[in-house]
Amino acid sequence: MRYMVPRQTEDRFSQLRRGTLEYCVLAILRMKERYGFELVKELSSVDGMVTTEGTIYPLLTRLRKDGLVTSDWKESTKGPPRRYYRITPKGGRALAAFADEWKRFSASVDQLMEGETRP
Amino acid sequence: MNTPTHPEVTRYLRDLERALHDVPGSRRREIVEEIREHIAEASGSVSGDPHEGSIRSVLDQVGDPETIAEEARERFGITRSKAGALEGFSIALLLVGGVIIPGVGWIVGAVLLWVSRVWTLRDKLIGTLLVPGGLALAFFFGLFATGTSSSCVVKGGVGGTPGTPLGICSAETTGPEIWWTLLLVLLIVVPLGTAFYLGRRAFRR
Repeated sequence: MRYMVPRQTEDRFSQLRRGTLEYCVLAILRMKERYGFELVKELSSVDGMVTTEGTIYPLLTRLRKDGLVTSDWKESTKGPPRRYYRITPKGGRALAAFADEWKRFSASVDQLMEGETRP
Repeated sequence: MNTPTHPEVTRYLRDLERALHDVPGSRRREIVEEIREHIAEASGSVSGDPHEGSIRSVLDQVGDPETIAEEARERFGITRSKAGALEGFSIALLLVGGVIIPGVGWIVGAVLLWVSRVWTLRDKLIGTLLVPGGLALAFFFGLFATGTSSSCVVKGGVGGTPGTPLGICSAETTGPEIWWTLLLVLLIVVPLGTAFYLGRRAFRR
């Protein structure tokens, strides 16, 4: 009983997180190209964004397939070449559209949470 | 060049590859390859020379292969191939099909095994090779073995010393007979193990 409520909340958030994660990835790549490990570390440094690091890779593969990111190999100073991910114009447009919607959506949620609804 | 060969990592990547079995090949390889690199990088940055503890914590952070596979299936809209009647029949026929309809029953089971989308190549090879014919081999081998032991009795009777107690004859054959019995036990245990394995691989969850 004591742990049931937090657990459900966590499940609900994991759905929300899943839905927004791809845009968070795009947002990070908008600044600068990154290789997988870098990207994962950057995401997990933000509280609560990534609980299972490995799940980022299926997402990256999916984004690449959808043409929202591209990747190419670059030599690294140590170790094998790395696959660097870069955002595409299509990815940029998807991100911009999401950012707009998100602003409105989160404002609405905040408003309701704070009980400032006006009829 | 710096790919981790730590046994734990090798095992993890093998589990991951297996968990991703219903994800199309090129994507599966890409995911496994990227995660391999991730592990290499992460374990290298934990300490210069990765030891067990750090490897394990790296793998914990990367996550359970099943969780990653579940994510991949969701991202690619793949419905997990679910085991059903076909898999059930296949397991049953591989085990006892050869006894019920000699030879043919097992072959039908093997065909179903290879047709199914639930099992990996490795599972299918295990199912086929351990043991061809299933329990039929043990069954007919058992018949054959009782045949030889009775011929032994006859031989003992004919061999110049009529009335030789049976005990001598069986004493003579004790050595090889132990091996025959062991083989028989193996021929029963291994197909049962395979059936259990295939069942677990198909119907877990």
